[in-house]
Amino acid sequence: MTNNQSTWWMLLGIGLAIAALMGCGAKGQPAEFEQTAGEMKEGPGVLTGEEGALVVYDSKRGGSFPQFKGQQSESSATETSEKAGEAAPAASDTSAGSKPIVAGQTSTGTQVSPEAAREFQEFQEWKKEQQAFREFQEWKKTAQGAAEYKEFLEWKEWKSYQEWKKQQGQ
Amino acid sequence: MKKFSQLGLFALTIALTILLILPAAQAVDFKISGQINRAVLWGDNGNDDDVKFVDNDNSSTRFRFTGGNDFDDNWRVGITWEVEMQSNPSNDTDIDIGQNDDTSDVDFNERKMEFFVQHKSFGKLYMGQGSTASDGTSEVDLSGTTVVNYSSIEDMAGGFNFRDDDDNIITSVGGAFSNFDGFSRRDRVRYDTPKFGPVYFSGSYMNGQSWDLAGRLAWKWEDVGKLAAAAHYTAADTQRDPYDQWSASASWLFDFGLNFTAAYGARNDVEGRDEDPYNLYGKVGWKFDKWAFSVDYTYSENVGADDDEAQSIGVAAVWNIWESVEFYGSYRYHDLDRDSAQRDPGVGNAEEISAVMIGGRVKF
Repeated sequence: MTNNQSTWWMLLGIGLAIAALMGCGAKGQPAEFEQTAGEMKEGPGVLTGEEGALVVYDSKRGGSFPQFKGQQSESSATETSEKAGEAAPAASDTSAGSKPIVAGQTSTGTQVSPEAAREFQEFQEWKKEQQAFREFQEWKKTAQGAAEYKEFLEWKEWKSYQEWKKQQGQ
Repeated sequence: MKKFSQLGLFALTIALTILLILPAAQAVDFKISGQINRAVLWGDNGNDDDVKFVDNDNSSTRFRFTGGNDFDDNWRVGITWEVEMQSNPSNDTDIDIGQNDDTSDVDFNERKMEFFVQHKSFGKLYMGQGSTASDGTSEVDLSGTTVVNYSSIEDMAGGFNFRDDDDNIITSVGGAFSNFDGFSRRDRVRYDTPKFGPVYFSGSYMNGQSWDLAGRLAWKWEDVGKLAAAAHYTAADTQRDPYDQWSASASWLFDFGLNFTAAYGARNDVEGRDEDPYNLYGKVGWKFDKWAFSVDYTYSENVGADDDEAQSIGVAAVWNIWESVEFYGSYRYHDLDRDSAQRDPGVGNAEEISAVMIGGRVKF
């Protein structure tokens, strides 16, 4: 009986705390319930980076081991840019009238295919987008960002409601 | 009993049928992850002191395979296979103060071997070995120090034995404290409802005809903080679990770092016992930058034996030096007062136990 009373008091306390916060007019929203005690650490891993897991297969990201593919393209991109770096002085060394080294061509004469160059460019753009996405996620966490993002979502909802209303009218 | 078994088979059949009739997979993923959590544990039982090299049972060394298929926009079917492997678990009495050897058996222990079928509107159904609905309901904690301190205080030094001043063993720390955290992980079928605002409910049914029900809540107030809470109840009262039990825990984290956690658990009508055991737990913490600090207090009554009074105070610090690496340190004081009628003849009252744990958890 005493045990049950203690539990009721605790539950009542929690309820009152919630009611008090709601009464204060603090804006709230449902959050994700996360169990941390006893569970595995969330977040990045020392060997697996930002993912926090070795991704063996992900169909959305191009199949098996997308992390390594990313690293490969990154390292090949680095190599390419290094080669491009080598190419630049070689280009400046070329005397007037001699054939300039075009983009994708290295000083050693190795040709980089247009597909590879395009892929590299796409990769760079993807990296920029990733950075922008991370900034967006951070922004969403800030007080101002959260409010603006909520407003944006409400605006989207209103827009789709308008669309729906329009369709109903037709 | 038979009815419930039939219900389980029916649920399995439904799940398999759903798998067969669903459209082709839209997205497939499969991942491997794990962590290593090792610590140095010093303990003093009033007669002797010792240093141990342990696997921190607050969040044991383990690895897991996870994966899933998304089918159209609503369905997802996935698996979790998680196993732990602990050398010298910190809650094992084989590493008691005065024991010089390492634990003899280092095996893989099952944690989770389950699949789930999830629908955005209908909820999530689990089959296999995994968390029961009540698992974790005494352990909601937003302090950021759960890697070394939370309501299951016996995870840190549960292997140390309380002894009297003649070195007679009374019981272990693990035998004197319990947070009555439901049925932990078992072979079961579990269903989670979809979220109703901030709340969702779960129920599970397992071997021995035991069952449990639980509810969970998470709510965030803009520029104020976050609340998480959970509670469970079971009156299964079966041969496997011959009692009824319930627990609740809640944690509040202000945006500026201050946090409070409270938990309560009780077991009623335990066979062969006159008194009902219960446990109270409270914690105050502070989180900032890469640091988290906390102080907690727990009081257990009638857990190891009728009229037992056990209490513990802990202090913890966690340093998240990098996102994948954290270092921690904790001091914990344990005290047990056992009635003379409950002790063996000639055995005195328990000496206090102090323990210090310093270690690190690395996710790989």
